[in-house]
Amino acid sequence: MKFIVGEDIVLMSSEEKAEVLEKHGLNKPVFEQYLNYIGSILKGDLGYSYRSQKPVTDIVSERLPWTLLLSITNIILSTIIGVAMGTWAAWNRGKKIDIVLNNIFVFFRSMPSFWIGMIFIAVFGARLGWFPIFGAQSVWAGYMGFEKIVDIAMHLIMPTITLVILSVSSIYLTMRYSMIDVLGEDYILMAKMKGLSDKKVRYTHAMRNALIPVVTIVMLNMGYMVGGATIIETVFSYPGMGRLLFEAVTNRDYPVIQGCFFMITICVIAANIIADFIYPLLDPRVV
Amino acid sequence: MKKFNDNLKLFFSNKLGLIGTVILVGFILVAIFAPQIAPYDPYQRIGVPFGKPSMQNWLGTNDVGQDILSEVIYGTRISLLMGLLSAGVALIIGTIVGLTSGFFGGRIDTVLMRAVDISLVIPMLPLMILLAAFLGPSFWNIVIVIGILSWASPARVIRSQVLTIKNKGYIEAVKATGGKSSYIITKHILPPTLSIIISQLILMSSRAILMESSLSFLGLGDPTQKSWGIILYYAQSRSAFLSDAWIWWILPPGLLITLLVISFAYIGNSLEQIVNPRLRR
Amino acid sequence: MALLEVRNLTTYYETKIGYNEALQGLSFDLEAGGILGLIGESGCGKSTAGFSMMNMIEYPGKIMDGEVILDGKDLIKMDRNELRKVLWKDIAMIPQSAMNALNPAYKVGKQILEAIKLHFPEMSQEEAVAKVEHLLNLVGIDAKWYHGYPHKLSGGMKQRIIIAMALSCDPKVIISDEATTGLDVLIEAQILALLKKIALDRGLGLIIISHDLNMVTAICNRIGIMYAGMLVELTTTENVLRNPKHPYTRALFSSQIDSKDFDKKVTSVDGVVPKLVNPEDKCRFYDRCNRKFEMCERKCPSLISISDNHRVACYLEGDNHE
Repeated sequence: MKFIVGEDIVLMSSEEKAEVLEKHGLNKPVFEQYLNYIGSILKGDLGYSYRSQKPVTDIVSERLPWTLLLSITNIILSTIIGVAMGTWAAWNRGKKIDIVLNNIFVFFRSMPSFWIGMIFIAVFGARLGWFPIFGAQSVWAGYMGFEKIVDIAMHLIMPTITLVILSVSSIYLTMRYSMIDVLGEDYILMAKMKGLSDKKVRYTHAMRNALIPVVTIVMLNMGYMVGGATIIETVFSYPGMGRLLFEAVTNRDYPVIQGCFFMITICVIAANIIADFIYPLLDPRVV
Repeated sequence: MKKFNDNLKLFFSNKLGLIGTVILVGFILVAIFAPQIAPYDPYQRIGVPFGKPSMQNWLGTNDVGQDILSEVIYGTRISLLMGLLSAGVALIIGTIVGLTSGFFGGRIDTVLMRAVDISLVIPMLPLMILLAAFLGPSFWNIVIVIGILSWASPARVIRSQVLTIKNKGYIEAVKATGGKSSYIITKHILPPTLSIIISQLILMSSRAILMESSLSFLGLGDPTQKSWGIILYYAQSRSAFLSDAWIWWILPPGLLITLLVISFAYIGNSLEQIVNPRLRR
Repeated sequence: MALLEVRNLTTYYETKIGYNEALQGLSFDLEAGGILGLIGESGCGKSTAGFSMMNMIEYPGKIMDGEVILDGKDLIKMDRNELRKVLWKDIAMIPQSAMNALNPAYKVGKQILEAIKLHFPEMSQEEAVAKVEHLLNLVGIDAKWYHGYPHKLSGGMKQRIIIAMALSCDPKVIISDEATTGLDVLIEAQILALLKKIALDRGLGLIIISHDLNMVTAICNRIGIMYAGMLVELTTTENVLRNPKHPYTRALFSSQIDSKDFDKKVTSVDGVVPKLVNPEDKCRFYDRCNRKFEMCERKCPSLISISDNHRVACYLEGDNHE
């Protein structure tokens, strides 16, 4: 990524340029730069922002909690809603409720997420004044304790709903297909023949097996969800990693861009590790 | 030919597929005849800035006094074209990768599929933002950025189709009689894969339209080619959501994006049901 | 009174062009300790018959008519909640693909236990577990497999587990639907011997659905031959072997390869099974029958008694002529 050189540097005088290059170690051979970079990552050092001159580690770690808050809330809500609705639709396959649900989720999938955010801001923020439209908390209000939590929650609601609308469809679709598949299995028929109630068949026998592909999809979608967060954080001026990345890209602040990608990658890897722990709980065939 | 007619019947027996087609044809007509339909030139200042809807400007005017309705009508052209072109680029790459990987198998397959896995996991939008920012705002850059970053999932679908065909025995037979790889691919693998490629193209277009609007919204699009995303970008940066202007400035382009994407999705889904009978009820 | 009375059981499947008459007017009685075989080629409605007897037909299938009377109660008339109490407790089924009838996510012992706890809520946990272990032993599986997951078991073992499961609530009737198809011959023989022994020991009624003539004649004491959704002949095994009446039964048995006489010509039955969607009202075997006459084309013959314990649906037999 070092080979991408921002416009600013072109405008600098040669002395300034040399100074900047020296400071960021850009005058050394590319391979050495790369080794230095890897070495410093291992030490927890992601370099310094070209813009603010602050350490990237600090900038990123300041933003990361907000993205985590947003993403984790989103994943939990999307999974619960997607799984519940997917199960419901699969159980009533081909009936009216299935068709209605399918169309709702196709609709969700087809809306540009940033646009949903804009509409929310216009209606529930600017017009009705129910929710704050900017940032993650009212920094200047000086809230403490419980008030602060409420304040943060209020700021979280609209971005989360927007993100859920963006991410829930794929979970719903996966759950529905997977559930339909499982419901066709012989062990479901067996469970019904044993005289178990529909509820029991659905939740103990079908659900557990149908959830396996959903875990995969949720984890595969981590990247997509983080990507979605980029744009939604921008709409709501939410101070997360996504917005940081966007600012860094427009400012050509490469160390920050690298830092963001590094953190996002870590998150995706972490998600996959978590998935590896969840699989054996659901499926005894995976040990 | 009979099979084609059967499929056509099957396609039109799916109500949603039919609805999607009608909507899409409508959009295509609007795109083609934009100059005839639009009341004004969308790049021309024709009224006061931030004008409210009136008899002259049904959807009011934007921050520099251009007619929003005309912008939206012309936007159909740009958005539709960008979606189709980006999906085209993605499908060209995806088809090449999918065919190569599925047909040759072995180490090539392993390497290509690993690349597919990686590109499916990395957060696509941040990467697109990065690439788009680097390449600079232009119509073709956006098309290329979306295209070269969206090839992975069609590649995987096409590969699995190729594998199914390859295992059908007659490919072995052609190979055994000394058919060249290029001959086998173009004569025996590509034709039965074509329907899948087309349904993927349609589904990809719907995604590309959404991605284009996202990138444009972030200000990475070409401001001289007003797509729906660009209109929304200006609406956002002029804080249209703080006033009543959201009703005529923000609502219409977003609704049109949604409608266009839904029409593609409906067509794509009903095509997929024909191509992949397993999905049929 | 017979243990199980099936009367005029009729099940159709809804298709886009009309009803598929998969099962038409199935009637028979089953005594306690009786082993009835239902045989026929694939698509003749055997499995539909099995599921219909359990009232387990799901959309697009629909039970159009008939009664399944077990203990004086008609299963077909029951609502879901009543039926749930009877299923497995009084009538159990070993389904076609026992391989896949175990839920991969749960231990096999748990899956048997689940049925026991459901139907004997008063039983204590220890008693129920002891019962499962007893059942496992009964079908020849070490009780340590209680804690095994299905993917660790071989096909034959899964089959035995399913049999244990079918026996778990002491049902009066067990339906075995091609339960041993696909197993090794040796294991198949073992399992069938086991089933027969249990049926005789416990005096329960066993219905064996199969396409395997040798197996059915070896183990059942009565046999029903099905063709295109209808029972065409119902009699003792003895009669089927020595004195088959329906042309289809005869054809079926002459299409067997005789191990003692390799020169004997194997006659195949010409033609195909008629389509069952909106069929014409003629004998369903008409197109393939070599002894048909004009009567057969006019109306489908019904199953009538021609002697004690021998019922045939053919105009050639008895006084079936109207």
